[in-house]
Amino acid sequence: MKRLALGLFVILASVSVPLVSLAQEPEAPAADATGGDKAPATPADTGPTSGPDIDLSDLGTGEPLEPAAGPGKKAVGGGGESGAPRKAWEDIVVVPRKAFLKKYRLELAPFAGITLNDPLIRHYSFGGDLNFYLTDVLSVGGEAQYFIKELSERESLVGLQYYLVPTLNKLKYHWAVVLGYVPGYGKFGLFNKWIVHWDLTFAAGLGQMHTEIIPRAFGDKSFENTDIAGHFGLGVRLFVLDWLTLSVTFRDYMYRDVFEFKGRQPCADQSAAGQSQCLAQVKSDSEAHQTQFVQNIMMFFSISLYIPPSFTYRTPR
Amino acid sequence: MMKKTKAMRNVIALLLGGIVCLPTVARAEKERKSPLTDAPVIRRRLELRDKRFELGVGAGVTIGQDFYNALLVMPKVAFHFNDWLSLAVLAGYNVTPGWKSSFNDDVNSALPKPGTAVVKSPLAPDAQATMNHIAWAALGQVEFIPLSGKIAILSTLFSYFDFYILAGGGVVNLAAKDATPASCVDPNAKDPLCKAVTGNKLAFNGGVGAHAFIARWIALNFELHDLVYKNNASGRTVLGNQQTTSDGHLVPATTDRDTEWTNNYVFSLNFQFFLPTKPKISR
Repeated sequence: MKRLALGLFVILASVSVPLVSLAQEPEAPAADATGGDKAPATPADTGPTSGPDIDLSDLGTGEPLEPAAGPGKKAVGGGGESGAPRKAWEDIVVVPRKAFLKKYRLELAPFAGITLNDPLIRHYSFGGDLNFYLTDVLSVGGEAQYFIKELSERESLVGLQYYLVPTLNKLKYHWAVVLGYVPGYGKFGLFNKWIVHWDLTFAAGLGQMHTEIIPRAFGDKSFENTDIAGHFGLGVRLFVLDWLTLSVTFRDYMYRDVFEFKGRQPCADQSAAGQSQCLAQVKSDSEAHQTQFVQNIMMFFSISLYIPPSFTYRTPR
Repeated sequence: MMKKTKAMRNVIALLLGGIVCLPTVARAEKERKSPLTDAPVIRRRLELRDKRFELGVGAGVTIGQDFYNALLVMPKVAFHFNDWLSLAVLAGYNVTPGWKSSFNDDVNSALPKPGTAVVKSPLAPDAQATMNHIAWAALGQVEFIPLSGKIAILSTLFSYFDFYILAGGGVVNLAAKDATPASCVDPNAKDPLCKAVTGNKLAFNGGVGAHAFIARWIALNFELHDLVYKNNASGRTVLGNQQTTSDGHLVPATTDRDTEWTNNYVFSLNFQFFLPTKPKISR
């Protein structure tokens, strides 16, 4: 019985120690100073009075900040609101690293787009970008796209309302060599629950736009144009996974295009050779008299896939 | 008797073992819970909108209008109920009522000039007369702001940003040079041959916007609106209806049924001031 009593005492003592320690709040662990492989999906302190990533700017005011607790109360960072219990997480500073690295990675981005600024004809575009990132903000690559045209309701009303037939060209396809730059990088709190990293993208390209006239008279032959086209683009890219991003981009394509000559006459010679000669003459007249500088503003949605699909941080946290 | 005592000892040892183990397991569970579990995703965040008024003025420009572009002066006032919901009223006044689109220029140059013999085509001035444009707009909108954060531009300039979607309604006033020119009136016809759509139109207002804060009390405000209202921008038949005049001629008829719902895009850039000038900071 003595052995049992002794055993009971030892067991009770061992029980009581963890129970007492459970009654206390666990101590907050120290912030991880050694770093890890990936940015944590944990809260980011972006307040203006904390660590290195925290006050990115004072937005030029230089004024002292007023805490949410009001002027009569202590700042949260300086000891917590009076009367409010201090939360464990308030002692922990979390500085997430850049969520996505692009250096030496290949970006393959299929896209779909639409023209915005022509009330008579709309083009849908399907194509892709292929970019290689020399640094995290600089890329070289190319883009190619194929267009599908759609005449607008306004185009059909021109004939009904004004007894006119508009002179239009349809876009066929386009390719370009593109230089890309990332001028801005940011992060958002989504409903203050998740952090979304994003960046601004800028691109400048030079290539060729292939177009074709839409003859005003039914049955007339059409001719094609190969125009040198430059473009500028500005977009927003959201980082979803280590190998996946979503983008919205606006691009302005600029080129000189040749439209159907307004004085085109029906071809008298209906033979194949005659038709060909007539078309050559129309094209020559059009190039001489019906050349116009064109700006096509387009909006694109794209999904980018990155190769290799993962990346490693090379600097300590 | 010895067997009974041994069995009792075993039971007691088991019970005590259970008592010892249970809190230990519970403690392990508790230790696994991150101390950041209940923390907000962004702490000590500048609440740049919460309980603040926003007022300012800027300029808006229409995109893709058929006949007349408009440059609008656009004052805007808003109140933010919290950091993610606000109510705004804004107005737009067209200061360039004569700003023709390139399509308008094309039509105008292709149509016959006065004094020219015409069969069916309207004369250029008559066509111009019934083309309408936005004169002014008065709009209300609710703004929902799910995204707010900050951006580094060229790693040197830093700005707080937010993105929002907006929805509401209002009135758009349309005007034309001459709603019903003499050439559009046939005394023997019931309906006019052409008639500009003018006056106040009820409009639905939807779109997206963003604030880019220059300082804690001033922001650039970008908005893209889609104003949806019934219109017939040319003031000419859309349905292709024709009427026989009392003297037997077949002429076009333009009525209210020729109006249809149209999308009218306006991009605006405002300078907005925030009051009070000092924002709150979250925990």
